[in-house]
Amino acid sequence: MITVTRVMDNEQVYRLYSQELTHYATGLVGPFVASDVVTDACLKVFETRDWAQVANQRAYLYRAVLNVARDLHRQTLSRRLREMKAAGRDTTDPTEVDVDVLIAVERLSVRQRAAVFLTYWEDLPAEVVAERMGVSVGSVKRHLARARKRLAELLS
Amino acid sequence: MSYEKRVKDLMGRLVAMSPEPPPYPEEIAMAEPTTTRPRRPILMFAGAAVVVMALAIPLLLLDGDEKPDAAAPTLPAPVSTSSTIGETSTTDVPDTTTTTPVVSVTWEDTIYLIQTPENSFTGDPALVPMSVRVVDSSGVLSADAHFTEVLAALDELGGSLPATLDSAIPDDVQVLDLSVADVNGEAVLVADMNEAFLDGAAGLLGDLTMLNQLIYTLTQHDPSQRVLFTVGDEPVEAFGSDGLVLTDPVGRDDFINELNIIILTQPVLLSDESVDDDPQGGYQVVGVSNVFEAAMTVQVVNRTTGEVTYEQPVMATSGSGTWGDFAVDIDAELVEPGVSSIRVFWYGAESGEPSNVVTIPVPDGEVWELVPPTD
Repeated sequence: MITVTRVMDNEQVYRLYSQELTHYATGLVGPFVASDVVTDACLKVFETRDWAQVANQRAYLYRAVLNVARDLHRQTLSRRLREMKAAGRDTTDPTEVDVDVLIAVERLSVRQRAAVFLTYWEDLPAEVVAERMGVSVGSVKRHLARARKRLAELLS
Repeated sequence: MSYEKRVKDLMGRLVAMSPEPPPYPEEIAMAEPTTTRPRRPILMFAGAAVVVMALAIPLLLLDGDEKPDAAAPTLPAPVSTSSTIGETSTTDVPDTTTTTPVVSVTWEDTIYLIQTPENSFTGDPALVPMSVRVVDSSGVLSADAHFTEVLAALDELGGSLPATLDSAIPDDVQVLDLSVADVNGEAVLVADMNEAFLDGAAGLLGDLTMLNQLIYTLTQHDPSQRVLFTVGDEPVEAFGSDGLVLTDPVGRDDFINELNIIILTQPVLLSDESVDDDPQGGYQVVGVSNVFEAAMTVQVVNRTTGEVTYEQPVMATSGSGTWGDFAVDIDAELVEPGVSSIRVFWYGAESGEPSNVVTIPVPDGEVWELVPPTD
């Protein structure tokens, strides 16, 4: 295994990846708390003692974002959607929030969202998706297959 | 519109809602570890860490009052180490007045090797990734040995590559240092090579094969990452026999058409996880290919007798001029570790014979031991 010692400081790493991580977090938890997820994940990562020796810092950050999204904000998207539904869709600026998209994404587990986002939006091969999710290639394929079943009716 | 396009559209609409990335917050800045000494920007193999750890063990025993620097990076645990003092001692405490510690260290990593022509070699060079383990009990390897040093030192270590595999990297070509740099917003792996790298590997095909071997090995943890080759910290302006310009980062796709049209992208590993529709798992055979109609065959072969003991078709996601992914599990019961090889090929459209064959010997254990056991 290759071990990478940090050559960019944390701020440089953050500047390099924060944009794509925010997109990723939006794919996982929606736009409402994506920034919080990225901040929490980076804070946890940069505090990790072995962070300087992480071989693939990009994948590590992706995994951290996924973990924070799963652990801290599992219900956030659903709760926000419930609040929006209770308040009526008209109160939401349609140019900023695409409710139909969020309703579709809500059908998926956070891991399924991650697999779908990385595969279909970032166009990454399964092995890279697996690395960024911290799971096996087989698990990625299972997440994609289950996501497809859940989305099939909606997208048909 | 296909499912893939609809999902991509869905993701695009989701990303369109994405907020601006949060600014680098003060609390992250405060989380920066405080160090009492600067950290040297280096990248090294875990094998190097093993060496350091193994060497540190007797040194710590020699000076029990010496405390490790709390600010120093924590090295990963060694894969395996053993330390013996002298030839007959069995005590854990070294007698420093009369003996010299002898440390056995283990270096382990994946190296992309080249299939030798004798093994059904029908076209461009075939890459074969192998998880290998090297045991060094004689201090041949340096503390930060990269894989090029391991390959060059195999004879000295008393080991050899599997008979069907070779390295296209000349022994005098060495990776001196690896680091990650921000190049136009892209995290690029910088491989600083010695001057022998500039000479290439005898001929354009050899040069490109060597480059592919280096690129695939260096990017094993992130296949999408690109590599900038430097010599003396300067980008390479003329490489090999044709003076190839390497001043920009290069990745796995840049020279892929100089390789066999079937490429294994990870070592053949036994896993409980499945990479295909069979939930049982087994030996994972994963790669990319560009063969006619994306149709290939995977066989299990007894590498002593040549007998084909199992065969199944496998389809890539695309072919006939475009590269596609393929992944298949082979039931563990069908493979005899240390005896079987796995072959991946396609039946040539004209000849009907196995073409562009890639053969991967299945190791007896989890990895290939490149040094014979000492006992």
